[in-house]
Amino acid sequence: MDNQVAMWSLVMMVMVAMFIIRSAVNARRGHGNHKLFEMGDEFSMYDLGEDEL
Amino acid sequence: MSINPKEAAVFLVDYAAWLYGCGATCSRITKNVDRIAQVWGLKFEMNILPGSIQFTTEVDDCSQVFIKKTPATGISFYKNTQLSKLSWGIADGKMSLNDAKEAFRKIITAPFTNKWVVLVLASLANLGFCRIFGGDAIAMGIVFIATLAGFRLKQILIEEHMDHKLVFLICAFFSSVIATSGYIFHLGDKPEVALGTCVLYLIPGIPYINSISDLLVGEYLVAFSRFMNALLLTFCLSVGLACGILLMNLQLF
Repeated sequence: MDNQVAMWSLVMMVMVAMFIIRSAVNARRGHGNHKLFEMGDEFSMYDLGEDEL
Repeated sequence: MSINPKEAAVFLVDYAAWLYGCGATCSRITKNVDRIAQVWGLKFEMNILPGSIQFTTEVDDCSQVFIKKTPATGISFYKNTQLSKLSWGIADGKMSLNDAKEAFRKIITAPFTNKWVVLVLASLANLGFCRIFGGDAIAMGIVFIATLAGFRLKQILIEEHMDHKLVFLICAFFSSVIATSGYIFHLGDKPEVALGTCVLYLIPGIPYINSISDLLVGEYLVAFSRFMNALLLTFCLSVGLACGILLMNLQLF
């Protein structure tokens, strides 16, 4: 019975996660951003412009 | 009424292809096209094949064959009815070829019914089925939720152009898992009815009925094609249901 509840809950969570991810992807694409994941590092803030150099 | 036979033939083959795509039977397609061709004085031969329409007519003492692939559009009773009405409008002499083309363009570009309305109504219909098969209020509620989730998933996966067989399998799986909540959490007195009726929204009823209709008028190729498509979808639905039951370890088999 516990296994059944756990399995049922897992399947429900997978389904809800799929719905949420799809909404997130559509929202991101709707804003014109075709990159779904942004990878950045904090070091870009130390890039000095020509004037500062 | 003087009609350019080539333009008329192109219109008719397009018309027949769209009628097929919208879920009309071969007898309806044949009658409608016959009706229009008679008014326009067009002699033709039409072959309705699975996936395409072949239309042969005489243009300037020369036989010409027009072939049109049937569009991959969803079954639409509205478009079916409007296209049939168009054939009567032409037969009554109220429409020229250009008017018919314009009316045809408006019909095929008409939007489908609002998907949220369809979603709620399909869920209510399945809830009704559960009641017909003897389900209690809790079973009806479970079926409503299972259909709501499964049908929404079906809409999303079809929008993403996933193969329909896979869509049916996945939707049947998730609907059946939701419906097993009656067994798992001991909800209601008729959990078996909820489990049995939760996937009814996926049954391809119209292709089955159309295949029988086509069989009766001798269109064996189309009948067999429609029947096999429907059978394949039913098989995928059954596999999804079985996977859901086996995963939940209900030991019904």
